[in-house]
Amino acid sequence: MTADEESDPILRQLARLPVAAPDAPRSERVRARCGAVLARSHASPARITPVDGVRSLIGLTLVGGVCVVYLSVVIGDALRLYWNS
Amino acid sequence: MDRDSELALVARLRAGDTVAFDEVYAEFNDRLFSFLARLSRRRDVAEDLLEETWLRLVSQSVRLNAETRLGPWLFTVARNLHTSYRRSRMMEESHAGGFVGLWPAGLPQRSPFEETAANDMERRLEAALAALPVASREVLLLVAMEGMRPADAAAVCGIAPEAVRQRLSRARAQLARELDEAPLLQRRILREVMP
Repeated sequence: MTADEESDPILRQLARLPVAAPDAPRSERVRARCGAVLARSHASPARITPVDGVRSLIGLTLVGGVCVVYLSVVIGDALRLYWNS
Repeated sequence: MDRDSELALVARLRAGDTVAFDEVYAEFNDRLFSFLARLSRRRDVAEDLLEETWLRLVSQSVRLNAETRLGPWLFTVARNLHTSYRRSRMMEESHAGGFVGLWPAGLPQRSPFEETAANDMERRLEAALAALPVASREVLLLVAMEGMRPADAAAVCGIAPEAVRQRLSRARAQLARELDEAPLLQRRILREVMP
């Protein structure tokens, strides 16, 4: 507030009006909930351990191998049909 | 709260420090509630909007600017949430416009502050404040009650500082008029009831 505003009797009376408090149990719940959200949003992502890395590599290799076998069978069948016709 | 402590709190909030959040909460919770309750004139609405304000702070804490001033930031969010709430209420009421008149109109509710005012002057002031248009009320609440500088109040309301000064002057005149007229109105009603 400027000096003019501070000397205004109505504005001074307004400034003296009481500050109200919200419902205490609900306030506590909100504080706890927000604290939890804040902590969760800043939690570091789970680290990938070397064991997890090896497992995922094996999984990828297996899936890739199955795809290669499937594709080679399909292509082999297609070529056989082509040469036989 | 001095500026250095505020900057330190902002830095800790950005890092996800829940103790820092508790400090900000303790500093602003009652002030934000008073602001929202006097704006909305309803305790339940003020509590809902207050909760949403705090959730906005924690969900956006990572993106807070290092120079953020917490008071204006929080009051801007609270004020914008109240504006959205009013818009949705107005839309609901305009959709329900066809039903107006089917139910008897109730007397306007007394604000939670009028209910608990400690003395007659406080009660009159609360009633006069509650009778003002929202644009006038919010400027009075921010500048007179929160002690914000017009530049900060302008940032909260999304208008120019000069417009805040004009609104403040107009709101102050409206408030004075309301305060002058309240006893006259009471006397007029008494004369009608007890001639």
